[in-house]
Amino acid sequence: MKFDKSFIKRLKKKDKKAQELFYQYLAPKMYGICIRFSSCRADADDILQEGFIRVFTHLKGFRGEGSIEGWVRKTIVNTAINFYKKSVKRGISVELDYLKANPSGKTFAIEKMAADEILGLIRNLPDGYRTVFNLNVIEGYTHKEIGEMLEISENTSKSQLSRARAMLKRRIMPKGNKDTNG
Amino acid sequence: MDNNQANIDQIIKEKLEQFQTPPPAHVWAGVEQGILNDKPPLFFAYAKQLAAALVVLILALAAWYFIPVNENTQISETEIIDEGGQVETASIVVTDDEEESRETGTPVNEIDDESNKSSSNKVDAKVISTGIVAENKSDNSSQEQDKLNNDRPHQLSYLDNKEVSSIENAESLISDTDYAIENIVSFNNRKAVQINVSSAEEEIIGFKNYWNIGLYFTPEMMFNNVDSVTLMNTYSLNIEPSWYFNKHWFMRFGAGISYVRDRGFAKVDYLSSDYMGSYDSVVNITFEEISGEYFPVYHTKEVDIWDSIRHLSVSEITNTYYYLQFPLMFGYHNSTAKVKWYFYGGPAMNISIHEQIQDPKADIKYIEVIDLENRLPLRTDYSLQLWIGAGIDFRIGQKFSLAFEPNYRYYFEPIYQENNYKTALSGLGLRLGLVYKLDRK
Repeated sequence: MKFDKSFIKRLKKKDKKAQELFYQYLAPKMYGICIRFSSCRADADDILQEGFIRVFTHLKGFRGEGSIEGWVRKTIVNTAINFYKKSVKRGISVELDYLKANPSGKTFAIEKMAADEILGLIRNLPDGYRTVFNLNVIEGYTHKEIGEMLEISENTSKSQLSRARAMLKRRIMPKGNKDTNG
Repeated sequence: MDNNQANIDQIIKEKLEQFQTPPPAHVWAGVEQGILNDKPPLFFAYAKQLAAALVVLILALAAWYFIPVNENTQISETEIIDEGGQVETASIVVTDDEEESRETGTPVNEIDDESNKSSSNKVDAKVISTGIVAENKSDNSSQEQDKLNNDRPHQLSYLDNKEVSSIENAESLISDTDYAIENIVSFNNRKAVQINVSSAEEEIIGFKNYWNIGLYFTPEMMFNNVDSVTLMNTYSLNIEPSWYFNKHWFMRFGAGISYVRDRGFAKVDYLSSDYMGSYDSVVNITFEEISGEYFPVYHTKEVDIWDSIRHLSVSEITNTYYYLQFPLMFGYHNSTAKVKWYFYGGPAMNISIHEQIQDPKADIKYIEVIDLENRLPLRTDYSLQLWIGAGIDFRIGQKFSLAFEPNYRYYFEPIYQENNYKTALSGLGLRLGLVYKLDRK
């Protein structure tokens, strides 16, 4: 989807109907990102809401370099990062939740898994692991960039990604492949 | 291991990168609320309108302050028909502190000695006049005049373009002419018809109701609380008779035509073939022999890549309406010599007589329109408003005056048909009027 200049102009004027249209078109995709970054739907809802408020209030800062969809995506990701940072400051951890959420120890073949199944696995990662995994593997940020964003060292980012991968691997790789690939 | 991990990453990325699912409805409600909280305070939201209102107010006050009019001064004008049937006009200025009478226009050549004596003994006079009266009294000293001013607070004056006479002259003039305010309409056996009555005259002969009729042009700025609709300035042209049925009260009604425009947008969702880039396509391969060895030579051709891309765009739309306007106002007025000020209020009704609804269309060629949706709401055929306003009326002649009226309109009912646009509306206008005073009956 490409948004024409005339439409962006309306958005910059804070035209409410244009904002609603814009939201209708982009929210499903952005909500997918929010779900990836959060451990529960309620958090995803909060990230999406806060993210779009930021989009509409800071849209004047969009200078038309690149696609507006990319700009919105970046804003939503930044919102998710801030959300994570706040939860870290509050001392919230979902490590135990993660363990509780996977009592069966069931494993899957990743190729056969649907997107929402993979999503379920990622969402059950601990907050830090999940955030780093999302930023590096799916959003394509380097460890240096992730370190700056999350205010952690580059090495911490790398180790968290490694642990996230290991956790996912244990969950998604069939047992038969585990030894041969490991 | 690394290859396998990269493969897993790639699979996860592909499966999740484009993953999407509709969010719950309450999220948009939260976004709306968040945007609302971000809006500037009401004062800043209406800064433009408030600034316009302030400018109008300042102009009105400046006009009021700088117009050189003696306070408590009233003018009465008299049309005098002499024995020969010639019409002459005269106006009289009377103030509380210094009651002056001013006579202008055609010189009054004769004044009856005996007929009008009633007020000469009550009022001291300073006379300025052309014609016989002034010529007879033109040799007075300023000292005498000062003395008169100091000693006698109440003076009756005739004003002229040429000269000023002293109190004695005025007294003698009054004595000679037996001029009196109460009887000014009957100079020297002339038939006098009053055509313009002021407060001074009203005090003397009582108020007589009268009519005037005004042609008013009104640019009006609308206070816009309507989402996605820009209310353009409204322009109205009205003809409104006013009936001054009381010394201070009047009624105004009439009809007018109002030109109204709304600007909004239509959503245009379309597919277009967009240029994505190019690549070199091999069209032929030849072989060249170099030192006994054959090397392939690839002949390429640049090929452009086009793809069908979905766009979301908007198309500007302007709807135009013409309304008949029927105001019915009641007001209070008061006057000074050159200025009449007043305020008024009352209901007004708008009835639609014509509308031009623009059809939305995509301005871009070679596209496939997926969805075209007009988002500009339509106005109702009828609306009822409350008008309130204040005005200043500057005389620019015997019968004409210019009126400046800051005016506020409040719509009792929503002006749009759709339920989503049920919002109160108001407008601030400046009415500019040319007013003609009709003869009294």
